[in-house]
Amino acid sequence: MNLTQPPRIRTLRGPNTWARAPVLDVTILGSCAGIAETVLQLQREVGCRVAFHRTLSAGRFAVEYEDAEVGRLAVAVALGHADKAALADLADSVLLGVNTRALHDAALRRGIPVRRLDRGSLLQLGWGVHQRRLCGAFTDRTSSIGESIGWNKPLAKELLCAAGVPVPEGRRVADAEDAWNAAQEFGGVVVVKPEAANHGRGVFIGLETREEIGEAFTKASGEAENPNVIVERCVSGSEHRVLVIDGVVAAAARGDALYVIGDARRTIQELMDEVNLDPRRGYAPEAPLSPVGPDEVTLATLQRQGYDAASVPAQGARVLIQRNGNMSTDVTDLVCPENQRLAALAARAVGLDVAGVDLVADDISRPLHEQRGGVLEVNAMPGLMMHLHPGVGLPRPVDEMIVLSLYPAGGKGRIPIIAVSVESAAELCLRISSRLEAAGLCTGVACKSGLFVTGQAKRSGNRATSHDIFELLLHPLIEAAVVEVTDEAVVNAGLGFDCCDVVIFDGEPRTDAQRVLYESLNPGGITIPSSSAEDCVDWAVAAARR
Amino acid sequence: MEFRKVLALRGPNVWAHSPVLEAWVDLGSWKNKLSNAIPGFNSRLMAWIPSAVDHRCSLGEPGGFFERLRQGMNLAHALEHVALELQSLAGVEIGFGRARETSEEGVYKVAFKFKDETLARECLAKARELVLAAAGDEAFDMTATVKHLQHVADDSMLGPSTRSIVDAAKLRGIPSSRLDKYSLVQLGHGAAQRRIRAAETDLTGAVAQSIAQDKDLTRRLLQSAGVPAPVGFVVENEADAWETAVDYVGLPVVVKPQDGNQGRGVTTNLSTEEAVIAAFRAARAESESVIVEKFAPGDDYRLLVINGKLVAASRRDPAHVIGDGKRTVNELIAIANTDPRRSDGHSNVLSKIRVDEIAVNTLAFQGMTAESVPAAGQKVLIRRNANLSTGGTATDVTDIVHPEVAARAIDAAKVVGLDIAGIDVIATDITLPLEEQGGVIVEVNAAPGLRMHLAPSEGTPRNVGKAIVDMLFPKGNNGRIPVAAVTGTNGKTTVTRFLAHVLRGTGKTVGMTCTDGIYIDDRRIDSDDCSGPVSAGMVLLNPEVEAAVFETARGGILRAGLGFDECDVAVVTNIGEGDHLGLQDIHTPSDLARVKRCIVEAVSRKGTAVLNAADPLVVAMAPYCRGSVLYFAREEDNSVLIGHRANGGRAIFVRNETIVYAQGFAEQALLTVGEIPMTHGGRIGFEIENALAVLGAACAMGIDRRTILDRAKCFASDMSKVPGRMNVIDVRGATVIVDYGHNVDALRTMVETLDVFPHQRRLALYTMAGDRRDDDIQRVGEILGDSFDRVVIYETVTARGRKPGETANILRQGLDRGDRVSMIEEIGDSRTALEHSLDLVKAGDILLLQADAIDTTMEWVGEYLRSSRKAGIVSDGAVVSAGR
Repeated sequence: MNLTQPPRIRTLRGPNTWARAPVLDVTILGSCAGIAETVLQLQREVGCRVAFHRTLSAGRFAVEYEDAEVGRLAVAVALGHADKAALADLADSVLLGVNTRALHDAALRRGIPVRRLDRGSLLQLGWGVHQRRLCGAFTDRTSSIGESIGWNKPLAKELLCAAGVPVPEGRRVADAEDAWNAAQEFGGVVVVKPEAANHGRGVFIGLETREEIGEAFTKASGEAENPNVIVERCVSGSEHRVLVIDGVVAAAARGDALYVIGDARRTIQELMDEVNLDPRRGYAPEAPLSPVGPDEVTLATLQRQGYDAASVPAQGARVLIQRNGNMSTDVTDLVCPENQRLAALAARAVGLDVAGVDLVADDISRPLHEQRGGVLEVNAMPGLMMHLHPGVGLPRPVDEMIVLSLYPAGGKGRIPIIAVSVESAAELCLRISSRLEAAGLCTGVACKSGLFVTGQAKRSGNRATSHDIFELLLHPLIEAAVVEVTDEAVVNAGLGFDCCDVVIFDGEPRTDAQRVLYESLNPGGITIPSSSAEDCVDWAVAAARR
Repeated sequence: MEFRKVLALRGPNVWAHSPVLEAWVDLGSWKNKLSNAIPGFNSRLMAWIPSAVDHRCSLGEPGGFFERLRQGMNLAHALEHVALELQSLAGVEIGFGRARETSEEGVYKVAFKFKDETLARECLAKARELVLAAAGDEAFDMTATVKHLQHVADDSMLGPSTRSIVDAAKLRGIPSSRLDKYSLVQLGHGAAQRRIRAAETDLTGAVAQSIAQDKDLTRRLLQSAGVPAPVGFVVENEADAWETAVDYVGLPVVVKPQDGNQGRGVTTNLSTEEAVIAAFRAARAESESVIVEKFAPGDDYRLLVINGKLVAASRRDPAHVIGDGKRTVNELIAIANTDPRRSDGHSNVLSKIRVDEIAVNTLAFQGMTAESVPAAGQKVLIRRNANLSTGGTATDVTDIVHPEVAARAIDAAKVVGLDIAGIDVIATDITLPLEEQGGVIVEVNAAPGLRMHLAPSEGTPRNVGKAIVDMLFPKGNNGRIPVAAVTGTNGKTTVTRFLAHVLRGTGKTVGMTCTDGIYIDDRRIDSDDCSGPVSAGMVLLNPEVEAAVFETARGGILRAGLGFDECDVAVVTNIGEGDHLGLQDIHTPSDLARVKRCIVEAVSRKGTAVLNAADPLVVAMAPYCRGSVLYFAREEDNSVLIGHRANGGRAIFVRNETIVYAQGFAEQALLTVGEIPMTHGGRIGFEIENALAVLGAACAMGIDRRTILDRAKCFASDMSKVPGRMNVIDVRGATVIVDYGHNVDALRTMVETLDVFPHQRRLALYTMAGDRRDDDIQRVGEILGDSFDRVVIYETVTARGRKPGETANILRQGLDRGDRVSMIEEIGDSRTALEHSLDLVKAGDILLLQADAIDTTMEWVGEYLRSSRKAGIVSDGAVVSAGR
C-alpha cells in the first residue's frame, strides 16, 4: 500500500483512552485494515517490545510504541513511505542498549518511574526530589575521577598496590627490546598490552619468545591514541569478572579457556565454525557468548601452538582457541570472603561505586595471595549481561541490585501527585499548593494559569498539558506536585504520569479521559469531590502528607 | 664537573622541611679552582644572571653572592646559586640552597629547595652547563635557556585551578600529593583522603559531566527546573540552521556545538544567512551536532557555584582591541599580546589573542579585516564569545550579583547534578533578576576554569580554592590520620610493631611499615624492607588506613627524605654507637643522629617527640621538635628526665618494677614491667626500654589508658609477631635466641641479656655485612670473642663491595682478640652454618642465632624444628620470647 497523504499521528506517551501503555494514535486517509498489526510487527522486528494495537475506525488505529520516533517510522514503512532498512538503522541507534534496558526494566518492576533523558543511555529514575540518574552502569554517584583512574592502568595499579590488592608485577616499556627485558624480570611468561586497553583489544597473553613479544609490542603500540605499552607477569589461571556494587560483591563470572579437539579431518576454522553453532553464541548483545573467529588474538594464540586457521589438527589434539574472554560461568557463590574483600577494596581504591573487577585466579574460592592471583583491571560501567545471562550457572539480578543501590530503603522514587480535574482548577491547585508549602513541602503546580514552584510563577500560559506535567516532575527540588488534568490534555498526549495519589473531581468521572485519570489512582489513593472547596483542600493536603 | 648522583628528597629531609634536590657534584678538574681564579668567570656569570645580585649568600645581604664570587668561591657553591636563580627565572621563587663538602676531596653536595622536581632537575642540568660555559669561556644562550625552563615549568607544574586548591588545602594543614603528571591530586591521607582534578572532585559525577557536555539536554533540564534558558533546537544542516533561526528561534541567534567546551566553535549575535551558515560550519568542526538558539543581548557572566553556594562571579569581555587611528588590527593584537599576563596556555592569568578563522569572521561581521585600521577609540571585537582561553578578559562582580540570579545559578548546578559548576549567564545587568531583563543561563560547565576568579583582570580576586577545600573537608577535618614515626639504632622494629598493636586496640585500621614489610592490620601486603619513604607513601595512599606507624630507617631519609610531611608522634629509641657508619657520607654517631632527627623535626605543633632520656644524642634532638617532648628512661633519677619534669614536661619511667607516666609532678602508675610479656618477667632491660617508648607514644597519641594497658599485656611475643627480634626457642633443653641485631650496640645489649637465662655454655652464630667499616666489624668480633665459648661465622650472599672471605677475615681478627672464645668455626653457606649451630647445642646451653635475612632464617629454623620434632629430638617446648 502506498498512500501519498501522510498520516496524522498523535503521540500519547502516558496512560490514555486506549491503553495504559504509550501508543501512537494514527489517522490515515482511506482504510487501515491490517496496518496496525504490520506496524506492531515492524517494531518488534527491530527489537521493540510492544504488544498492543487496536483499530478504532476505518481510518484510525492505535498502536503501542517503545520509542516514538521508531514507532512513527514504522507507520511510515507500513504505509510505504519509508524503507525497512532505515527503520532498522534508526532502531539500532536510538533503542536502549542491553545494559541500560535491563536497568530500565528493573526500575519499572520496582514501580519506580523511569524516563529517558536523551537519545543515548541516560535514564532518569523517580520524580522531583527523589530523582536519580543512570547511564548504563554509571550511577549519578559514579565519580568521573574514579572512571578515569580505571582507564589509567598504571595509576590504578599503583593505587591497588598501595591498598594491598595483589596485582601482577609489570611496567611500561619503551620498545621491543625493553619489552623482552621486562619479560625476563617478571619470570618469562608475560602479557603485552596497550596502556589504555579496552575490551581485550590488542592484548596478547602468555607470550614467551623474543619474537612473539616483539611482535605483540608492535601491535599493541598501534592500538588507540596512547602508544604506551605495558608488559606484566602473566598470572596463571582463569579470568574472572567480579561486579562490585557499593562495596559488596554482587556477582562473579568465570571466563574459561576455549579449546577445540582435532579429528584429523577438519581444519581449525571448521572446528571453530562448529563451536559457533552453539545457540548461546551470537553477535546480538544479549548473547551470552561471542562467536569465535580468526581475529588477531586468536591467530596469535594458534600460531604459538604451531597452527593457523587452515591447519588440520591430529585426532584428539587439544587446540587452545581463546585463553579468556568468554565470561560465561557464574561463580558468585564460590568467591571466598577474602577475595570478596579484595574486589570491594579494589573498587574503593579506584573510587567507583559500581565496578567490574577483572581478576585472575586458578580457584576463586581460595584467597588470591595463596595462588599468586591478581587483579588486572577495575572497570567503570561494567557490562551486566554476563551476570544476568551467564552461559552456565545461576543468573544474578545485578540490574535490580544497582537500582537498589540508588533506592536502598525500598522507595519507589515517587512524590505525591494531586490531580485536579474540575472547572477552574487553577485556583484550587494553588490553594492546595500553598497549604503544602506551609506544611514544609516544596510543591510544583502545573495548571492553566501557568507553572509554579514554591508559589513562584516559573512559566506563564496554559501549563495544564501532559508535556508540562512531565517536565514539572523533572524539577529537582519538588516534593509534591499539584496538577490540573484536562480532557483535552489526555486526548492529545495521554496522562502526564502513570500513577497519582489524589484525584479531585466535580462528581463521578464522565468522560473517557476522566476514567483514564481515575484508573491511574494508586491503590491507596483517594478521590475527592470538589463540592466543598475547603474540605477538599484539607483532604488533599492530608492525603499528600501521608 | 659531573654529577655522581642526584637525589630528590621529596619529604622532610636533612636539609629542610620541604622538598630538596641534592646533587653530589664531583668537580673533577675544577676542584681546586676558585671563581676569582678563573679568568672572566665572574663577569660572564654576572652578565648571564644579573638578577642573582639579590642572593645574600653567607654574607646575609643582597649582593652577597656576587661579593663572594669576587672573593673566590668553589664552583659547586656557584652551581647552587645558579640553579636557584634559574629556578626563579622559570617562575619558582625559592631561596634555600646549600653546598657542602663531603669526606671526599672535590666532591660536594649541592642542595636546593624545589616545588617541581622535573623543573628542578632541569635547572640543575642547565646550571651545570652555564657554570661550565662561564668557566671555559664558551657561549651560553641565556634567553633560550630561560624560555626552555619556563616551558618545562608550564608543562610540569600544576595549572592555576588545581594549584589554588592545593594551596588552600595547605593553609588548612591538609596534605596533598600528585597522583599523575597532570592535575590529579590526592588531598588528605589514608581513609581521610579525597581526590581532585582541577575544579573536579571525587564527588563530581560522570553522568552529570556528560549532561553538562550536552548543551541541548542541559537547556531542557534548566527549563524544567524553571531556570531561564534560551529557546533553541538541534539542527541538521546549513539550510536547517537558517530555517530554524528564522522560523522557530527568531533572529538574532547563537550557533554552537551540542557538545563542546571553552567556547570553541561558538558564534553569537548572527542575523544573516551567510553568517549563520559560516557559524554552522565552525560549530560543526567541533561537534557532530549543532544547536541554534536565541541570542540574548547583554554581557557574559560566569557564576561559580560550589556545593550549592555562589562563590564567585566574573563579567567576561570577549577579546577586543581599541583603535588608535594608526595601527592595523593585527598590530593592535600584537601589542595586546605583549601583556605579560597573557600566555599561550592556560597557565597564566590571561591567554593570547589568536587570529584564526573565527576571528576573521568576527572582523568581517564588523566590516573589517586584520589589516584594517580602526579609528581612534573604536572597540573592535576579535571574538564574540568571552572565554578567557580565546583571549577574553574578566572582571570580578561577585558582590553585586542579585540574590535571585544567584538562586537560579544554584538551581542550574543542582539540576545538572554538579558539585562544582561554572554557570554562564547572559544579562544586561547582573544586579537585577534575570526574569526582569530577559537574561538567560546558556551553559553549565563541569570542571570550570578558576583563573578568572583567582586572578581577574579587574576587581577582587576570590579564594575559590578554599571553597572547594571546605566542601571536601568540613571544618575540623584536616584530612589527616594519626601518624607515628619510629627511628633509632636498635629496637625500632619492635617499637613499631608494638605501637601498631596498641593502636589497633582503638578499633582503627592501622597501616604499619617496617623492615619486614607493610602491614594493614594483620595483613602483610609487602614483604620487602619497607622502612623507607615509598612504603610510608603507599600506606598514606591506602583508603582503608585510619592510623599509621612508620619505622623510619636512615637509608630512606638520606635517599629521598621522609615519606610523610608531618607526624603526631616521633619515637627515637637510641643512637648509641650507631650502625651502618661509613655509608652515604655518614661517619659518626652524631652524623647519624642528624639524619634521624628528621622525624623529630617533622613532629606537628600539637605532636610529641618521644625521646630516650638516657642517650645524649637523642636528648640533643629535643630543641628541634616543634611540638612537645616526652622522655622515657628506665631510671627515675635520670637527670634529663628530672629536669624535664621540673618544667612540667611529660615522662615515662620505671619505679620499683612499675611503669609510671608523669606530667610534671603528677604521676600515674600504669602497670608492672612483668605484665608485659615481651620483657620476660621484667628481666630483659632493653625490652623494658622499648615498652616505655611504646607506652609513652601511645599516651602521647591520646589513646585511653585502659586500651593501652590491655594491649600492652597481650602483645604476643612469638616468631610470627616480631620475627627475628629476640625470639626465644627451646631446643632440646637449650635456649636459642633468634635476633636480627647486627651492630655493636645490639650485640652488647644482647650479651647483657644472656644472663637472664640460666645457662652453662654460650654459643653464637654471627655474620656481618661487608658494607660496615672494618673497625665496626672488628669490634663485633671482639665482643663475640669476649662473651661466647664457641662462635660459628659465615658470610652473607651479598658481600657488598668486599672480596669473598674478606669480611670473615676481619671478623676473625676481632674474635681472635676475645678472651672467652675457645673455638671459632667458619662455614661457607648460611643454611649449613645455621643447622650446624643448632646441631651443636646441648641441654643447658644458650645459642644466639643472628638472623641476617629474617624471613629465610625463620623459615629454616622452623623447618629444622619440625624435622627434629619428627625425629623425636626436640620436645614441644613452648616458645617463650619477646620482641626487640
